[in-house]
Amino acid sequence: MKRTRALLLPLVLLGMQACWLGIWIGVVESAVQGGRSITACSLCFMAMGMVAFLLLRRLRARRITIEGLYWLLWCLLSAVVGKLLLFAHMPWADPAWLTALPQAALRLVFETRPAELLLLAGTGVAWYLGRRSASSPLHYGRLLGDFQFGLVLILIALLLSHAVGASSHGHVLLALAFFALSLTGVALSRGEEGSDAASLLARKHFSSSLLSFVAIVSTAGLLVSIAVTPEVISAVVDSLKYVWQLIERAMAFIASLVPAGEIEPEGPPASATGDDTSLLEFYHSMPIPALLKRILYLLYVTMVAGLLLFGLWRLCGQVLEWLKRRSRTAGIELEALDAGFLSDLLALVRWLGRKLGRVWQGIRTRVNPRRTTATPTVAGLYADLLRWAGKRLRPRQPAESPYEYQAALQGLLPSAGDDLALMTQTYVCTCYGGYRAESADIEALGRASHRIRHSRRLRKPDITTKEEETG
Amino acid sequence: MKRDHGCSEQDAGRLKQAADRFKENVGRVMVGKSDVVELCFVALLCEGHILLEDVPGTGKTTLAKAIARSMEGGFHRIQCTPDLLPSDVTGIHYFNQKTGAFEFRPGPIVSNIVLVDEINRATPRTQSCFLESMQERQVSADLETVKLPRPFMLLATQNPVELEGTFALPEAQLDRFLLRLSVGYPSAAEESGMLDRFRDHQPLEALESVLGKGELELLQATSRDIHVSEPVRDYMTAVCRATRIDPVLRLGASPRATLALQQASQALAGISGRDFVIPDDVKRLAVPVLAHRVLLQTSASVHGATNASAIEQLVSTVPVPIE
Repeated sequence: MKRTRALLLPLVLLGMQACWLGIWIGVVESAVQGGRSITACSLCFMAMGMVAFLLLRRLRARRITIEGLYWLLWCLLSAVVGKLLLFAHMPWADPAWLTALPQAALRLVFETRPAELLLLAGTGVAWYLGRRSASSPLHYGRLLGDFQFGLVLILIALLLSHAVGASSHGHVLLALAFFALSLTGVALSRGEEGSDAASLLARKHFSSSLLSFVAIVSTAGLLVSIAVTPEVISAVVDSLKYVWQLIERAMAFIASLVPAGEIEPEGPPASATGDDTSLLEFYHSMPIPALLKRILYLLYVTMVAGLLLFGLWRLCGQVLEWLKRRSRTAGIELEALDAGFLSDLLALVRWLGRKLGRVWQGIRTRVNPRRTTATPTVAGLYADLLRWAGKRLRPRQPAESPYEYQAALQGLLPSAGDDLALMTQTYVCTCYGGYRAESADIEALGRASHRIRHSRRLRKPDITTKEEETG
Repeated sequence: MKRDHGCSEQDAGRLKQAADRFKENVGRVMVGKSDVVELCFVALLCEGHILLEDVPGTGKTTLAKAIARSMEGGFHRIQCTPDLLPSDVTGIHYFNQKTGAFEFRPGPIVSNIVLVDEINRATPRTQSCFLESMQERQVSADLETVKLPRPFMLLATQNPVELEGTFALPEAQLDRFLLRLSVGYPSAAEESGMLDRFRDHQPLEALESVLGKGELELLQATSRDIHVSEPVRDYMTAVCRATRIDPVLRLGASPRATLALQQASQALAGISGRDFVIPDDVKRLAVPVLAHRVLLQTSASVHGATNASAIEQLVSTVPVPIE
């Protein structure tokens, strides 16, 4: 059962991602393209990406090599698919089909080539998601987070679909499939973590629980489809439009306060009508350089998207809060959406900060090589060990103490037991004991860290075993 | 490595030696259970009170007696029954015919180690007379207030199974116990060893004191000097605060519990030979210090959760500070 679950979880996650990505590509496709559908081939990219990453990982090459090969493969495959789908009439020898996709990427926002851009974005995202499903360990929190993320994306996509008047026939089915897969995935992962009761799957009633989930989701979907009619959605969208018009008017009013000399006299005041056309004319007639205009346009689009996302986020957060309050007596577990988003956002910012910091450090090192001789600290060496062990062996759980983590690592690196103990002991003494490490201690730590990185691993870390240990 | 403040490694070493001596002495009577004895010594160093909760026959009273015999000082025992009166505990004023005046005769509570056996059999009125002595180390009878001798430690036992004719301890009183411990059944080997040891004689009778009053006071002062770094302090606070927002719990840990957790962690670090507290100390003490101070939601208890399991679950979610 455990092996089946380990096999099923990545597939379930892949299915969940395929559902929301399918909806998104469908919506965008119906809005900007008119040619051949690329949804199916984008979703195939996801499965291909997963398989490709698993195969590449067997090469046991450096991480950067694997990543490079993986994305090179994507470039090649997307070019070939682009040729087959969009430039079937061109001969293979003509390089125009090969340059069409990079051109689409370069003309990203303004003079876009919709079909190529969509193909590029769709296959890129699918390829990334395939790698993501294959690379990181799957557990209850991850599945729950993906469910929430997908839920918000589907909501946005459905609203967009209505706004652009796209057909949403297949989207409802995909949304239902997403719900069914999410519930299955959450239940499977919960069962795997050895939960006491919540999951029927933990008690091996897989088929009955799956059927129950599908039945519940289908009934819920039916009820929602009865309650949420196009008129209701229209009313919501109209009210959103009205609110947005008010904001536009306010912005135009603020713009009208700028002295008239800075604006061309013939420019019609956009705030007077609040009409989209006049606003566009006003925008085109503004006496500012084209580049600045583009930047302003980009900022405007970002702001609108951000506001919409924020509104949705708050709305979903409130709904989930309400559900959470209601569920206290029902024994359901819900993670607060806003907290989830915030932590994701912070993680993204931290990740970007770390990347930029490394780049900056690299530049500084190249400019002034003497800087590299800065004395490392105990905390720095220990943090390096955590980063290395997190990537190569097993990430530290947030609630794990240094000694608990040391014990877990010793199981994976038995030959480095003494060095791990030394590093942990020194770190604990300096971090919690208020001790100051001397240069000899730091040198010894550096040597221990080096030995740990070059010691032989006993066995490959098994995801299920790890989760049992931490659970 | 060097450090400029707090108690030294030698002081912590002295604490460890004393703890080892104490454990060895009590271990002559209590077969196995060294972890429980260790936690009892933690309470002794913090001058805190212990609630021993377990089914009959697991050695609660024996453990309490062994602890009392292992240290210097007076020892009294109060056997709680429904007809026990507060004056039976605190003492009474009686008319001395020789002097022709009322004189105070202290009750059994006025001692260094007091064993309150089956505390939940006493009525709430009698139970409440322990509150003052447990927190303020004094008793009031009529208009007289008597300071209790130091160190003062109350060891209470209760049976959680047999609830007929008992009165559950109020939250205010539970909060005053530093630790709640469960002795538990011995393993097969321990039980066999126990049979062998208790065949000819009662080892409890032969137990001698291994800890002087003065020494204990010194050790208590050393324990209070154990270094608690800011990250560990923040971790303790986070654990206690988490109990207040945990949806599974109806009542979270009090600020007194946070203080108790710090004191107990200091003592545990000391008897482990360390002169500073680490998050592992806090984790180990979270259940004995916090479990009896929180209240579960009814829905959670219906689903089989216990106070201890709720605290364990909570501790497994609070992030340990790593720089």
